[in-house]
Amino acid sequence: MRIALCLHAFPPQSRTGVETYTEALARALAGRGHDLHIFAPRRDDSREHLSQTSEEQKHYKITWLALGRDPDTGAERRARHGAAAAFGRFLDREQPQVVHFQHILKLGWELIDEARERGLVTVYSAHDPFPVTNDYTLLSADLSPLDPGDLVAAARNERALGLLDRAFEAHDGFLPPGCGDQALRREVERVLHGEVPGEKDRDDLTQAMARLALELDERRAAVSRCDRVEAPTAFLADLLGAQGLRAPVACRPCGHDVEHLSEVVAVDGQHQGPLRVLFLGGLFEHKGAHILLDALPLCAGQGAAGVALTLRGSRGSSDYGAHLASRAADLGATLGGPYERHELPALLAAADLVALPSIWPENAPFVIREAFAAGRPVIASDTPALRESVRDGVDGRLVDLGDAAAWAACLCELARDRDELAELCRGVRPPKTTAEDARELEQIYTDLAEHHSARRTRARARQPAHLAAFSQALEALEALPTGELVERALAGLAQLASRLGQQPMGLTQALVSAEGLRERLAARERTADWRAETERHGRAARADLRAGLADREQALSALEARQGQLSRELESVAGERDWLRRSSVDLQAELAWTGESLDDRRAHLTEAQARLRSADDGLQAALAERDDLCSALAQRESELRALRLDHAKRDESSSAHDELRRAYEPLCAAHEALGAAYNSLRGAHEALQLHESWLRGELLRVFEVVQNEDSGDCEASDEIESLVAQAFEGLQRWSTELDWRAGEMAAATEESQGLGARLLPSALQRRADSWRKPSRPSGEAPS
Amino acid sequence: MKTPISIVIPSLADRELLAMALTPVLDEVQGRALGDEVIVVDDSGSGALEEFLAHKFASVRCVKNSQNLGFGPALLAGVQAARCELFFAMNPDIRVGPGIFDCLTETLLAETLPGGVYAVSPYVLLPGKEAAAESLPELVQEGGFPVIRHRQLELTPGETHPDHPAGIPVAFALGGAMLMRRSDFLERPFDPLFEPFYWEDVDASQVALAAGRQVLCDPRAVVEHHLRGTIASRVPERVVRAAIEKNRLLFAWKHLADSDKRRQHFEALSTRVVEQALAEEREELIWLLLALEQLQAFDQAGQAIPIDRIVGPGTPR
Repeated sequence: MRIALCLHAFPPQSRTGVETYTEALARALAGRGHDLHIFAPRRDDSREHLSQTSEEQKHYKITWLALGRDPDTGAERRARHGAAAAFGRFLDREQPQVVHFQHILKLGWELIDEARERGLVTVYSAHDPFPVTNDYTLLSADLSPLDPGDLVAAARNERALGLLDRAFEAHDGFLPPGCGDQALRREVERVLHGEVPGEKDRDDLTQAMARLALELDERRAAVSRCDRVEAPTAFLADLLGAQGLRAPVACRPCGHDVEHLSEVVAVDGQHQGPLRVLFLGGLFEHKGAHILLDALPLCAGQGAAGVALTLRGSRGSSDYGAHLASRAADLGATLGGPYERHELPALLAAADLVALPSIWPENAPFVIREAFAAGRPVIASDTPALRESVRDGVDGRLVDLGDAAAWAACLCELARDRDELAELCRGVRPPKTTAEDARELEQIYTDLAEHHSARRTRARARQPAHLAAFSQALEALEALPTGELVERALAGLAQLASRLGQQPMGLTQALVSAEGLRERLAARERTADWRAETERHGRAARADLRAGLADREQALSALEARQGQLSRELESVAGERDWLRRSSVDLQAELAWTGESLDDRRAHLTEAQARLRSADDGLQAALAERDDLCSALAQRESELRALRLDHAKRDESSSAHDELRRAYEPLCAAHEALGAAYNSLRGAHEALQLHESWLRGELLRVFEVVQNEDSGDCEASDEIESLVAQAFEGLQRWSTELDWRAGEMAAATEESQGLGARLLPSALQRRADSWRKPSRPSGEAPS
Repeated sequence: MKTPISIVIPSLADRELLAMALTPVLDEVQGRALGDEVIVVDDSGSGALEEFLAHKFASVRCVKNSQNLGFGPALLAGVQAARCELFFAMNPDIRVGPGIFDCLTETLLAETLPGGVYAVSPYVLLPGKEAAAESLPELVQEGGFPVIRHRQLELTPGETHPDHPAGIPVAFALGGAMLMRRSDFLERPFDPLFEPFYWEDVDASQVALAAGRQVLCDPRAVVEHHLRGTIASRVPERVVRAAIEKNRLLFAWKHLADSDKRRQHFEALSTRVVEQALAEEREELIWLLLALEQLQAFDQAGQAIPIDRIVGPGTPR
């Protein structure tokens, strides 16, 4: 696989972490059979600005991009105009399949798009928060923390750096502690944290913010367009995501080339000399070497065997290094210069532990892995990123950031307690190696390349089928390095020359015969310059526009807020109006309804009045009735009282009553007998009445016969007289019997009357009385 | 005399576009009532149009290609199936105007012109850009390379040009809107050297012109070109550009008969190569290599371009 690694600097010109890591990675990947090509800029006044030179190294090839002049602006320090076009030519020339960006400082985000436009696999490894902030140490010029999302702070810091530019010939982005005059320090602090005095300053700040916002937006977007973005710590991955990087950021720790450190002898935990503390790294302000120097005097007199401090690293460009050297000399610490890779085992062998007193959040410092590879514990500042590398109390200690007293306490404790130091040494685990890293990356590159290939295949499949062969031929040619394309084209020209009957042209002849070539090349250079200038103007104009946009956005926000308020008020008023309208309608309806119902109510009133009168009458009647009832009640009450009395009396006479009852029972039997007798008499009486009726009828017929006899029928008169005589006899018998029976009845009645007077209720009495005067059937008694 | 024609429309699977093209064509055919036929060549390769046409445009004949072949072969398939001697080749993003076929047939069949007329283009307008007609091309050599320019003539669409009552001579008839004879096309279809697309119609017209035939534009016949249905909308721009530039070179190599022009072209080409090499630019090198590869493929297939017998404009065979 052809792999290009692109970064901001490369050994031997620069040997800080990213450069060293990239160099080792290139070797490891080359060792796995890949073609490795490094693209990096370097300052080179001997060559044309932005020209490229290539060098073949043992394991890889380097193309240096010559930077021939100092950048004019901070923005140009971060992204040099023309670097992207040069990188495009590099890509065409070398035709890598994968471009892995390790850093784009000095080069610019446009490099990413150059790679993407060519359909190459792009990977971005974030070794710091540069994709989302220019102040990638997350510190301001006065070493105070800087929020990467705070554009105002970033713009202020840019102005403060301008002050440092003017005050110092060179600096590393910070006002070194203990350096610079007080007036400059006060001015830096005012610019960073104070009031912005005038309108012009405020305008400048606004414009700077707009410019920064644009620059960061473009960088964020370009990095997000990479096929893969990764960071070695979760802290950095989260930070990039939180600051608007749209691509997902994979957390994948880097590997380290530490084979040469595996033979470093273990720490002799029982040696009685001073605790040997080693600081390795750039002697820059944010690395915090001065914290260790501040801690040294505090260690004195704590009953420990003492602390021996050694500092090694390249000095920055500011006065900070000199300041450190002076203090180190005063405190008896050893301060050395930069070290080569082969010196590292000896340096670590002579140390009990490695100190990392950084005052910036850090990420995944390589020095920690180097220390671990040599079995040395690490005492580090307690930051979220470093917590991912150092396990407090296991393979090192974490100390409050920037707290010299805490550092002194920690170092003294380990100086006293060598068992604790030995325990920490035992807790150290070897770090991930570059070989492991290369294996992982190889797989990542392969997967991404396959994904790209599949995407290209899909894109081709969407084209009409007859284009497939042509598209494939085109892609095959596009994948050739520029040099091979030129060779093929020149060979093709030779063939064509013979075919067209022309003489093939050599390069010299072509150059000579092409009259306008130099002019055109010069014109192209001019065009490139013009384009760069135009881009600069364009950026400035865009920044101005952005500033104006920011102002307008602010005004718009205010207007929107006002509009919102007015809208709310309007809404409220509209609501009130609607409510009033509804109320009005309701009231009108109610009025109409009220009008209609008024008549009804009047009628109801009249009716109600009539009812009232009637009710009054009823009431009067009811009152009268009530009075009657009251009097009746009084009467009933008196009756009740009487009844109660009577009841009491009855209770008293209950025994007499029982006696009467016993007497009554035979009376009832007698009464029943009387009743039966009466019924018998009645039956007899009715029979007599019937007989009497019959007799009357017979008599009438007799009289008729008599009368008829008078008229001549004499023969029957004897018989009739006999019959009449018999009838009279019968009547006399019956009459006698009746008289007897009447006497019997009268006697019984008298007897029963005696009993009834005492025993029978009034009804029975009356009935008994009626027996004495029995009603007779109508009709004449027989004569 | 009015003559029936076949309208041949090679089309991909854009039914909506095809429907918009067919409606005015069928209106025109119905109005002429001469027995014109409309043929759609289904070049989708998937038979996407057959059922659609049967359902929506039953009077249209469908010639189905079993695979996508591209414009030239698709047009050839349609012409082979055509019944009429005259055919109107048409892209589906062309909207024909009223009376177009009468005008074009009249111009094509005019017997007054020497050599006869090979092909006639209508006046092709771009909607919204009425001043920029596409159908008045001329061919020039600039910096050693053939370049197509579009002439700007003072004329009113739908009317005859006063200086050219029989039609305006042009360098070529647009392949996407031209009337020609079926026999001519079958005798010399578009040269497959120019596959996948572009410059094949220029080549055909230039060959005809070289043979003394006429190629004309009839401004009385007006069409609109909606720039939607062509292949350019379906493939990446760099692929289209590569096809155009590859064919520009092939066209030059085929048609530059004049030895001075040929020398100028070769020198210019050599210079370009050197310039590209020095400037580390690649595009033109790739175009050149694509052209050379195609030429080589033709050599190997025994279809070499007869450069030694090439003819130039105005040089009758």
